Amino acid sequence: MKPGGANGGGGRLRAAWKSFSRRTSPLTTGAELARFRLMYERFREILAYNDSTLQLIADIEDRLTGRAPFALDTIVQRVRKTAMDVFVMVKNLNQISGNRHADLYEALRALNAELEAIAPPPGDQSGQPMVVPLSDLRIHHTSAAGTKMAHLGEIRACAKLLVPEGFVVTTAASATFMSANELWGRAERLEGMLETRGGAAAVTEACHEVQSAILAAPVPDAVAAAALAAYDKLAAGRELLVAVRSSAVGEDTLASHAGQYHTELDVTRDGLLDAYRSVIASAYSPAAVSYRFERGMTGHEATMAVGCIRMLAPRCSGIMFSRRPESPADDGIVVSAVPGVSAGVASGEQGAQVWVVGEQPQTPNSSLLSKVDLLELLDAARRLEHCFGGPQEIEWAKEAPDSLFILQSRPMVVAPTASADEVEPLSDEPPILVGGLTACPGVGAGPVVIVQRDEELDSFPAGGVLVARHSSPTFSLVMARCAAIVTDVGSPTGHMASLAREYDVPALVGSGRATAFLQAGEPVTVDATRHQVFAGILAAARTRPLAPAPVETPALQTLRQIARLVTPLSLTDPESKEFRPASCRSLHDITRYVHEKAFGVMFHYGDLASADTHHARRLAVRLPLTIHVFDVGGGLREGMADGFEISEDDVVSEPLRSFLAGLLDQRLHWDRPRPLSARGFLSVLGESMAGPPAEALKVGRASYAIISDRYLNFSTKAGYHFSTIDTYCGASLNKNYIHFRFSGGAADASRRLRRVQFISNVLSQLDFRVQTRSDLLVARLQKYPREIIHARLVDLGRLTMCTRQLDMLMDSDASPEFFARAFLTGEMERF
Amino acid sequence: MPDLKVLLVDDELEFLEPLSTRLARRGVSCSMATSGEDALRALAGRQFDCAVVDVKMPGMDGLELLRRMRRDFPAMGVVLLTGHASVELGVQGMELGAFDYLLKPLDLDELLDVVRRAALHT
Repeated sequence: MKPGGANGGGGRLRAAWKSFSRRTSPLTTGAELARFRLMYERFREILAYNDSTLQLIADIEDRLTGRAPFALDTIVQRVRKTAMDVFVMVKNLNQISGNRHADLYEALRALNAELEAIAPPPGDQSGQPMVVPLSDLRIHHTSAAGTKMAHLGEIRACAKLLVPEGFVVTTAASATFMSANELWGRAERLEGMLETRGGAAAVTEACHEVQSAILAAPVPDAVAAAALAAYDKLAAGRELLVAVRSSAVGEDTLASHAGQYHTELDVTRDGLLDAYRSVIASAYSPAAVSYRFERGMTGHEATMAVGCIRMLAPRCSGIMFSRRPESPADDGIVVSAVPGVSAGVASGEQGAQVWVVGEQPQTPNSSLLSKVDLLELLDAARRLEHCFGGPQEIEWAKEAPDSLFILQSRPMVVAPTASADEVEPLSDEPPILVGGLTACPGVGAGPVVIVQRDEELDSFPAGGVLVARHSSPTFSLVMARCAAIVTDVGSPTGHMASLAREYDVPALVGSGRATAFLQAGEPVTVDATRHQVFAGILAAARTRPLAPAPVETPALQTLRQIARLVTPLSLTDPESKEFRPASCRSLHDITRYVHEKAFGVMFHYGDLASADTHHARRLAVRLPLTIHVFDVGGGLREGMADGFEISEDDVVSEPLRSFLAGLLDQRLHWDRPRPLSARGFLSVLGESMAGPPAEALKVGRASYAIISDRYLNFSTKAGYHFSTIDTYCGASLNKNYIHFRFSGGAADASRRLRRVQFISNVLSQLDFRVQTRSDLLVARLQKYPREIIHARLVDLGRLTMCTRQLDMLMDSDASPEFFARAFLTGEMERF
Repeated sequence: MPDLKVLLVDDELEFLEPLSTRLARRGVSCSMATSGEDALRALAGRQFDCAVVDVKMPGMDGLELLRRMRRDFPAMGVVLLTGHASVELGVQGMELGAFDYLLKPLDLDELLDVVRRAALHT
């Protein structure tokens, strides 16, 4: 079958055809039958791809509301596949119409080029360097070096501050690593799983599987050799320890990935490749995958570069905010420091000394930092702000003798300024806990949920107050649904604090003994602004909206650009001059055009049949019509005798059976003389003498039925008019339709118009959407259940017989109305 | 009806051989070529009703081969095959006059119908 063979009918029909054609082997070599079958298959394929394209459009529009996070990669892949499906639609239409719509190729080509510019197909990264020294990096190298390392290069080059020496193993290297071990596909499925199943718990196992596969995979020679050579150059013959850190594309931009990825410290040459794998694997932790997913980041942003930088031996180190989070307008900084290496400060596992440098300069009362040190930090903070534009969150270290190194600088998340309408909660009782520092200001209330292990986050209830010993960035998993956070240990400059501000969850850290004082399940009100916790739910506690408001995420922005080329429909009116290939501005326009024109072609499917009498079988029924039957798949009974004539019983095509039931309605006495008004009769004669339309002469009274088990295309010239029915009728409501077209007639124009009026009246009453233009009528019935479709086909059979010479009866303007009522009430003797 | 004579062109023998066998079983006589150059040599010596050509081949690719076939053998229908779904290649192929553009994996019955039609196409 074809790609994505959504057209369920095709394969089955083909199978049915196979069983039929084997018995009638002389036919199977016939190119003419191949032509019939191909035309049918191509038409069915157009309809199937039309449906799947409309489904994609609906899904994109749903994602664009921003109500729920979505997997951009999955949508992009579907768009890419759909563009190919639309190509097949365009190709098929041209094939069934004798290339009459070749301009569509150009329209599609232009749209596809625009789509590929926005979402380039997965490219080839060979030729890109595997390793780049830090001294060569600037901020625009983000896509190769990741945000963190590109920023580090910029700190050195722009802010003229010291950064540790090192190199980056590029995103091209990790792409090589992932491809060589066939890990991409598995990694990409994770986001898709999140979208369909929801919740980090659902993907935990799959994430661990991907991570284990990464940890066990060999690093390709090209990557390993380049990384080790860069290490040797850096070490210059000494024993050198390096820090191996994540540097993902998109990491540390405003939606900070604070602490989601792994850093490995004190790595030796022997441990380098293991550390490299660990860092890559950390991009697929459940927390990291759902974090990216919720923030609407693209899978591309998980592509990891890995930085290797010399381990410092600092006297002290820490974190600095270039502005005070609660008053970013003032010229202040917040510095936290610990002796030695600071890894524990950020992750919240270690308490730290905190200085707030602002309007009232504080004299440090410890030996860690002198006033000169703080001024040096203040100067560095301003330079970094100047280079990167905006408040920064900075990791720093002081190494002997007295050098200030910057390890990282990223945009600082500034807390929403404490709103004026936030009321201090009032309680008659004193607070049950006082102390700690504001990580994110605000008041929140709910039952206490004590979290000891990360796994407990999976079952965290909406609206709970998270209480934990240590602050942890993994709490981001539940920040969208928790009312407040209180920790015993933690720093307002830690990763979790950044995340809390990003999610706007009131958070109180370093409270000392919250886990000891607060009981699980006890309702409490947390006033993070004033460092207090009260018993009970107090009135002033604001109710947080638990679902985050739609934010303009990178994924949404990309999707919006893509959607512009996919979803808008400008080709609304098939009668308009603008209904042409050159006016197609979206995939929706092209499918609309193809769909409309394909039905137009199928109205003339019978012409193909009239040109080929070799493969027709004649239906032996008592009717004033000669019906030639062409079976394109499963429309005739199996085990039927060979021969020219077939009986009604040989027909298994469901729509043809229903239609025949209408044609053969016992109440219709077509073989008796009919009431004929003299004027009407003369009118017919008049037209005949002037010469009937040429096509009526050509086809005479022959009719053609092209059938499969569920398809019927019936065209007939009964009397002097020409009508076509094209219908599909199966179990799936969405695929069912009847299209009916009627034109011409021998009588004078006013009678012909009255007859069209009559048919229009009848079909409108029977739920068809009817359009008429002069004496051409097109009626459509779509997406009705099978029983209704069958009932309407019986009606159309009956109507076909009734309209045979009806224009002779249409001698007054009241006639259409009169006969329509007669038809609908079953007074068949009127005809 | 005489046997159809079809030229199959694909650089992957592991695809070509089974396809040739299956088509032969259905009364289509097949010749194989593993490159564009190879195909042109085969065409110089024999007439074919239809050619089935893989788009992605090293050396002369399927589109270039199609261009030459349309120029030098306009009476022969050319069906393009591809494992790599690309709108741009598809559009180019159809605009260059391919009879059809089919995606792998193939449905043999469909290919048979297409080949029969392509043989009469001109």
